[in-house]
Parts: sequence; structure tokens; C-alpha cells
Amino acid sequence: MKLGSPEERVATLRRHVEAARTALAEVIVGQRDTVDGVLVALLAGGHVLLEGVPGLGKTRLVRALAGILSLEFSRVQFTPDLLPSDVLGANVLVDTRGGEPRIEFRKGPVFANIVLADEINRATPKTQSALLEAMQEASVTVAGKTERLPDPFLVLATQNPLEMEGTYPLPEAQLDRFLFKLLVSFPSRAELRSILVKTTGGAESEAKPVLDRDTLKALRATVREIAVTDPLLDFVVRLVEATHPTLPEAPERVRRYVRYGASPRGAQSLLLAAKTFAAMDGRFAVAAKDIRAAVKPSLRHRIILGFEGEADGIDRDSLLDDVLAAVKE
Amino acid sequence: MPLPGSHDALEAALAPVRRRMRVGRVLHALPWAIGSAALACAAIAIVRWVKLDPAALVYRTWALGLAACAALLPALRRASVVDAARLADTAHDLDSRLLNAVHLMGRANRDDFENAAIDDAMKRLPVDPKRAVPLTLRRALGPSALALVAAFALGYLTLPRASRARPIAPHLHAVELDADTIAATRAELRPIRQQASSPDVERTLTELDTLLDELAAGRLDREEAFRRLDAITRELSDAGRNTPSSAEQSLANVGRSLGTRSRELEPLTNALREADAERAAAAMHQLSERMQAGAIDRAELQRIREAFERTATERDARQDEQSALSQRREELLRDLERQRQQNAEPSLLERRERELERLERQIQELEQQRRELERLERELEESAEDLQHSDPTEAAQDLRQAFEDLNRMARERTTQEQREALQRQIEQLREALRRQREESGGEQSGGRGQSGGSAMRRFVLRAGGGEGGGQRVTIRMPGEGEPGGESPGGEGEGEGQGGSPGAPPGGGQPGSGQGEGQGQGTGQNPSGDLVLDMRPGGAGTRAILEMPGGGGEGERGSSPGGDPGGEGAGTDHHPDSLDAASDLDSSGALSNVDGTEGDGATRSQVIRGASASGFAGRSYRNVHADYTDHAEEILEREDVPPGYRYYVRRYFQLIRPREGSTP
Repeated sequence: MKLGSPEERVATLRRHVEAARTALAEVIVGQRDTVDGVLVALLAGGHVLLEGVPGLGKTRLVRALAGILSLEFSRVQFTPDLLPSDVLGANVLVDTRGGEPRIEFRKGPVFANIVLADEINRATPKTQSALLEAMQEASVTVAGKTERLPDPFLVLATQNPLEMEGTYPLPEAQLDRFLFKLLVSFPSRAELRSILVKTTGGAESEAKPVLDRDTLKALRATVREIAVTDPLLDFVVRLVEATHPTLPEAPERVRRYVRYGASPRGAQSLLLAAKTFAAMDGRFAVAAKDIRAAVKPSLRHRIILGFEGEADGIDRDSLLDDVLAAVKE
Repeated sequence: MPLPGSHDALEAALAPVRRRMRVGRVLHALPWAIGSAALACAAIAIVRWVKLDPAALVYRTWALGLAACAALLPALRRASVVDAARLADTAHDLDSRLLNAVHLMGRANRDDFENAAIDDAMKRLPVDPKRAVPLTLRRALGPSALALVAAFALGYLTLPRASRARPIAPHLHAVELDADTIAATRAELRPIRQQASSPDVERTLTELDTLLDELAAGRLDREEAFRRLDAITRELSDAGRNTPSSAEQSLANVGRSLGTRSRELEPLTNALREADAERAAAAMHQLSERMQAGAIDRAELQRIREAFERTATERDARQDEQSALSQRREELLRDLERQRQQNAEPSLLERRERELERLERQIQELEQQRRELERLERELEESAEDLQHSDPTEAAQDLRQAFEDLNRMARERTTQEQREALQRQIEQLREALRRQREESGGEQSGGRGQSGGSAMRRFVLRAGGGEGGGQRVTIRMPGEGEPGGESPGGEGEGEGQGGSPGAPPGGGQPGSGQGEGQGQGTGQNPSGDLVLDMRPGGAGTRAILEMPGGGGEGERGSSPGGDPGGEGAGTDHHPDSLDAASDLDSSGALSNVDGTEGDGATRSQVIRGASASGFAGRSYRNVHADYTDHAEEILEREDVPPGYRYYVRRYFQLIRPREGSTP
């Protein structure tokens, strides 16, 4: 695909994003921030963790996203008895026509462009960890044999709040592999009303495909070329440092409640998300506001609270507000 | 002209924004600067009021200038392009496009997206500087300006002088020594000055004069006065330390050594025995003249020679006294060292040290005496040798030398006497200063007129009372009326009351004095002169001593029984009284003097009146001199407590004859 000039590429990106928004809006009522977050992750090439109570449309959103993309989609419903092989696939003994059986790798649901890991925190940590390699390396290794996952590969996981019955917290390494953690909020009254109208009538509307694989790859390339100035790079670094309680930039509450701050992968996610925001806004360089907008979805799941923070029920977003207030551009 | 899309073009586009930023800083700092200037002006105005310094207003100009500089100072700092770009981005919702462009322009190798970002920013130019940096006056500017105007106006406000804080001058509690004491002391010093025979005496006299001048001017407080007196006393003592104090004894020893065999030596021997160095010098001079003239026969010359040789022989014996003192000094030194090693009590050590000092002083005095006497005796010995060689002329020369030595000794003796007289005067002055303090304390508690009058009255009545055949003295102080009646004189009790005219009404208390066994009073001696007889039990006649002064309201006298008398002067006697009625028509010394308005006379003025008028028949001056000498003699001879000495001397000071008084 021909890339063209920056202006053309950014304009194309904006056009496609707008088309995707419109298509998603046919299926998903409201949830603008969540939809934008999912689109940003899609363009930035990162995985998304959607957190919310059941019934808020998380699965529907993911299904709609898969619908607008002409890409392969699979869904895995995580349960406590789910095994890693149920996700990744397994070697099975199959009969051949010659009568001699042979071992064949049967791919699991992870082998798709878009994977919906529904209620991921209901599975055991062992099964949850089965996605680690897939999410980071875009490959799966079973019985010493590595299988590449299709490109693009995007995991959209949903989880219920940890306070709910029968949930297992995701390991820190697993969480770190998600570009964004989006909080799905309860819809407003108007949105709820519209939801009722759309979902309790006749045939439900389906999302129409607006993006193909090549276009998505081109848009992802555009995002990565968005310029960023040195002061803003420094700003990103200082923001991430401020989440570490042992560093001088950290605000007082971070020092008190946080055990570990965001990882370098978190900084990468932050900047990448900021670039995506800038591109979606039709700009060729990242602005400070892009970074600020990306801080919470990028870093909230990367901050590990200490004992005192967990005991006091500290909201990670409030800690990030302190970080944003403490670190100047 | 900057190229489009270049860094210069961006800077040029942002230049108006930067200028407005500097102006905005000035506006931001202006309220602070004006407020500071207002505070400074107010402070300067206060300083002007307090210190009354008109030049303080000049500082306001400086304050305003400094405030202006402080306000303009932020404008001198350059506004950065980055800040200008950020403000423009914010004002125009450019999402950091200009800021990113400024940063990206600094990169050497820009990619397509960086150039696109710069181009995108340049498309947004020009920006509106007014929108980017709106210049608004701060709310505090108005109150600050008002405060400055008010503070400036305060500088022209003149406060009433009464409200100004007056500097408090240090107050000197000057000692107030009355003029009589000062004048009396000067009078005592006058004869000493006329006969002053040594520099240290003259120096002491000068210092005393200065001290008296400053006391009279009220320039000294008590502490300073006593310190000066101590210093003068110390200098006088140091000067007289080496002067022989027992020169009389030494001269008498020489006189006894000469013996009485020679008739020609008799005047000299007698003078020496009486320790009269002056007369001895004259006798020596006469003897040398007679020798020179050959008026003395050989036998007499032989006796003179023998007498002179005896003095030389006995000279060694007189050194024993000094040897004994030296021995005692050595013993004391040893004792002192031993007691120091034994950690004896400090008081004991101090006593030993004082004794040692005294001994050393005595040894020095003896050494001085010894040198003087040795010189005299050597001259006499040489004269004896000349007489042995039948050379009366040479002997006369030696005697003249001896005459000079005696003269010198006489002068030193005179000097010592002058020092002692000065010491006495200093001691009297010190006592007067002490008494002044006590009297001033009494005045503070009881009122000046009352205490002054009552103290004098107590003294006089104590002196004037008498028992039995004693006579009575009635002193009528100015400001008091005629006695309303007379008390029985047989008991010798005098009554009187007084108060100075300056005393507040009712301030004078009825004076009453109980006569004591030692009568004093005025009487008529056989020659007809009025005398003041101070001998115990002295008999005399009655006398009325009236003091001139104001004839103001006075309290009438009262009888010893406390019966109230009539008002004004009595014309008859009390029915119970044994005494005769007062004879107001008597030809005594009764006199009336009209009082003067205003403050009345002080006590010393009252006494001056008495001393100026003089007693009848004889020169008061002579009477006073006689009694003063007599009193001094008694005071020196008897063991009179210092307090009483003071009163006696003070009394004679107060009643001394004044200049221009009746002879």
C-alpha cells in the first residue's frame, strides 16, 4: 500500500477512524471513550483489558470491533477449569488415511487476528499466563514447537472487578502486556434508553467492515511516525518516574501507597498511545495533552499498590491524578 | 525579512507576544512595587515625625525611584520563544503546534512528519498577541495606588509638637550642698592657702576649690562627690606619707642631748625640747651670728662643743627604735607567710597585711626622720670639731647649715600641719555631704520648712534649756506669730514654734523643747557684753533672739500642759501661770520686720539675719571666733561622736558673721 505524504497519511487515518467510529456507533450505544480507547489500541498495536461489571456491553464491543475489521475473530470464555491448551491449542493423535496415526498440532482459539478473552480473571493464573507469549511475541510454543500467530494480532480481554466472587487477579506480567486498561462505565440514562430500543426490537444491527488488514497495518505505520519533541519525551519519562515511590519525582501519596511503579513497557505504551491520539486529531506531532490523555489508560494497570494502598482501597486513577499534577511539562 | 517556514519567521511571528509578555510582567509586579513604595513612604513619614527630620522627605524620592525600578525590572528579562509559543498555543487552541514547531525547528535532520508538524504550525500564524497575552491590571493595583498617595500625603502632615516624643535627658541627682557650708569651707581653706608651703598642699587646695565650685553649681551627684573626696584624701595621704609624724619627739631628743650646761645654747635647747623647729632655727641663727661675731668666750664655746658631741654620741642609740620596728616587720612577714601556708582565715591574713603596711609606713617615716636628724647632727658634730680646732668662724658656718636644716624641718612640719588641716576640712566636707543626704531625706518625708526649722530648733533648744537656775532662750522664727503666752520659766523650758515662710500652711509644727541639765543661753557678762555661754550650768539672763523674716501666720505657743493659748500676741498672763505677763513694751531687742511675698527665706538666711544683726555690746565677729576656737578645741580633745561634731560645727557655720554685718 502506498503511504503518501504525512498529510495524506494522517488524513487517511482520521478518515478510517471516523468510519470505524460510525460503524461501531451502529452497534454500541455511547461508550465513546471506551470505543476510542479500543480504536487507539487497535492503531497502536496493543492489547486492551476492559474492566466492568457484567452486562455493560464489553463482549458486544469486541464483537463489533471484530465486525468492522475484515479479520479473523475468536472468543474464549475463561472459566476456572479452562486449561492452557484450551486456549493455545494442543498436539493430538490423528488417524491418517494410510492407517498410521500421527501427532498433529490443533490450534487453539488464540490463533486469530482478534481474540476476545472474555472474563479473563475467572481462569486460574496458569491459564491466564498461557497468553503471555502470545501477547508479547505474537507466537505460541507447544511441545517445543513455535507457531506464529496471525498478523495483526490483538487480544481484547474483559474482566470483572476483582471484588466479585470467583475471580483471580491477573499476574503483573500479564497486566503489563496490555496497552490499555479501559474501565467500562455504566451508561447514562439516554444511552441506556437507546440500548433498550436497539436491543429489544427486531433484528439487531451488525457492524459493517470498514478496515482491512493492509489498511490497518498502514495506519499503524503512520501512528509510529508521528513526531515527538524532546521536552515531551522528557515529560513522558518524568511521568513514569513519578509513579515509582523510590524516585524523587514521586508525589507523597505515590510514595505512601505504591509498591512498584510503571515499567518501561508502560512508558512505551504511553508514548505510543499519545502518538495515536495526535494522529487521530490530525496532528503530526504529539502534544502534551495527548500524553496526559494516555496516562490513565496506559498506566493504571501497571501501578502495583502496596499493602497500605490495598488496605485503604486506593484508587489508582487518583494516584495518577497526583502524578499529573506533580509533573510539569 | 525572515523566510517563510524558517525559525526566524516563527520568532518574528511570536515577537509581539513576547513584548506583551514583558509588559504583562511589569503590570504583574506593579501592585507589589507600589505597595512597597507606600510602606516606605509611610515609614519615612513616621521617621520624620519622630525624629523631626525634614530631610527625611528626600528619601521618599529614593523610595519611589526604587519602586519604579522594581516594577520595571521584570521587563528587562527577555521573554523566551518557547513561553510565547506555549501562550499562543493555549490562547488559540493549537494543541502545542507552535511549541512543537519551535522545538522541532532546532533539529538538524527532520523527517517528513517533523516538517509537516512545522508547516502545520506555520499555517496557524500569525497569532493574536492580545489574545495570547491579555494585559489586565490586577485588582490590587487600585488599593496599592491609593495607599501610595496616602503615604505620600502623610509626609506633608505636621503633627502637633505636643504629641512628639521628647528625648529623655539623663537626670543627674545632683548633691545639693547649701551655700553656707560651701562658703564656710572656702573660708576655712583661705588661711591654709595663704600659708601653703608645698606643691601637694597647693594642688589639694586647687582640687578642693574645683570640687566646691562643682558642688555649688550642682554638677556632681553624691557618688561622684565622694569619689572625688576620696581621691583628694588619698593623694594627700600619699604626699604626706614620708613626712615624719613624730618629728617633735626627734627634735626633743636632740634638745635633751644638748643639755642645759651652756647658757648660749639655752634658747636652742628649749626650742628643741618643745619641738619648735622654727624657734630652734631662729636660736641657731642667733648662735651662729654670735659665734661669727666672736661674742662667745672660749669656756662657753667648749661647753657648746661638748654638747654638740653628745648629740652625735647618742645618735646611734636612737637607731634602736628603727631596728626594733624592722625586726617586728620581719617577724610579721614570717607569720604572714606561715599563715598563708596554713590556709588561715582571710580576715586574719588581711589584718596581718594591714599591720605590715602600717609598720612599713612607720619605718619609712623613721628613715626620713633619721636622715634629717643625721644631717642636723652631722652639722653640729662638724661645728664641734671646728670649735675643737678653735675655729669659731667655721663652726658658725656649720651652724648656719644646721639652721637651714632646722628651717627645712620647720617648713615640713608646717606642711604637715597644713595637710592635717586639709584632712580635717575634707572630713568635715564629707560629713556635710552625708548629713545633706539625711536632711534631704527628712525633707522628702516631712517637708522642707518643717524639717529645716525643727532640726535647728531642736538643736538650739537642746542647747538653750537649763534646769534650775538656767536661763531661757526664746527663738522666734520668721513666719510665726508672737508667743501667746509664756510658760513657767522656773522649769527652764522653752517653747517656740516656727516654720519657714515657705512652708505650706500648717506645715510648721508647734515646737517644744525640753531643757536639759546643761544650760545654754544668753547672758550678760560683767563688761556688759552679751555672750553666749556654752558651759554647763552657765548662768545668764534671759534674752529674746528674734529672727527677721516674714511675719506670716504662725501658731501660737502652748503651755507645757497643752492648754491652748489665745490668738495673736498675748497681753496678759494665764491665771494659772506663775510668771509675769509679757512686757511687750520692754526695751529689748524686739523688732518686727515685714515679711516678703513669695518663697520665704531658707534656714541659712534666717541664721544670717541673726549673725548680721550681731549681739549687743561686743563685736559678734570676735565672739564667734572665740567660741568657734573653743568648740574646735573641745571637739579635738574630747571623744565626741562624729554626728555631734557635725552639729556643733554646722551650728557655728550657720551663725558665723557675714560680710557687712554689724561689727
